[in-house]
Amino acid sequence: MHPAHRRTPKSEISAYTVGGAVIIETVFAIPGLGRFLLDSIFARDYPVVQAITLLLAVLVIFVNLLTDIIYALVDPRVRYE
Amino acid sequence: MSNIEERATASTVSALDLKPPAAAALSRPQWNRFNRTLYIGIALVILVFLIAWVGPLLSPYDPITQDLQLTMQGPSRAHLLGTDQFGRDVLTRILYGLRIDLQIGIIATIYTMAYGVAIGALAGYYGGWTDTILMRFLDIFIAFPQLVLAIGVIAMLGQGVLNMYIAIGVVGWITYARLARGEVLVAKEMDYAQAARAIGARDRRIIWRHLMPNVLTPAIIFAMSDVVLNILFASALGFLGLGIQPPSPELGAMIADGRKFMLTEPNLTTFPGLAVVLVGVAFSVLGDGLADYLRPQSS
Repeated sequence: MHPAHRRTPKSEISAYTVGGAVIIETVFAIPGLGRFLLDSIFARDYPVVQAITLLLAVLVIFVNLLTDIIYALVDPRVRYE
Repeated sequence: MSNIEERATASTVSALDLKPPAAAALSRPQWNRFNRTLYIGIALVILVFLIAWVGPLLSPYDPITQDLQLTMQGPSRAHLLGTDQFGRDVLTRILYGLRIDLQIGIIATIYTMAYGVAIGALAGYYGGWTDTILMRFLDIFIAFPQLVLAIGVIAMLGQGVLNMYIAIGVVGWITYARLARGEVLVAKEMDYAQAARAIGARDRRIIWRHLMPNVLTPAIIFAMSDVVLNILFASALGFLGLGIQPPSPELGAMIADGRKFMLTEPNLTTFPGLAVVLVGVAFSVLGDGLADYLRPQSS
């Protein structure tokens, strides 16, 4: 089976966690990227919104890539051409 | 598998009568099979709807009108769940909030499911370039964390109810498309689909009449939990101040409002939270029941 089709819950969890970080940072007033994202929306600072959205997407893609690589290391049945 | 084949051959009176087995199960409900989870789920969902649509009629208070002489009251006989910082009755606001959240959850689920399943079915059925283009398009959306993408969309379009629906619509179809594509990939190779093709049915007819009933089963089951997910999504956006705007009694926004008074007035956050939990439990149990009901071979 192609590795992309067995994308695991684990890599999706990373996406959920990043999304959840926005809320957590709001609740506990943590000055993180999520908080920054919200602040820039209210300040109508669009370049910052774009940059953070893209940055977080890259982060999630990177984690997905790592998951796929670890899959191949752990499970010998998975092979990449 | 052998069970399906037996039923398929048993029902094959003429070639034109070929029907997918799961479609037969869908159109002919087996009421003799006792399904406790399904009945409890239906009862709970009906209860939630009754609370949301009949409840506000029974309440003597308005969810928006402020009464600044009655702020921050604890639970009493006049205000069963107390009042908030503007003197509004918390129970009344929860009842109206349930109405708003249920609307969001159900409407958003219906339209995201409609085009999500359609995109997935097309990709799975035609394969080749159609599949590649649609699935790479889907990969783009998977790459973004859902909430962050929705926040980005709202930042682009501005706050408001319609824009919140659009934001949910942008991120909500992904799972349906993946589910439907996977199911169609399997179903289009099954005998009944091949038979339909062999007797000259067109692609559109094969997809709609023969594949859809099978493809829809997992999508409908997921839709039940998706209603809850969409409500939580709308609550999260309301909480961040990006969804439904403050005077409207939306449950997420109510929790966000009451958060400042969490230690002194816990009823402002606890009861809206419990209302969200009630909706979540109701639809989850219904989804579980439907999963047993629509897939007889799995039990």
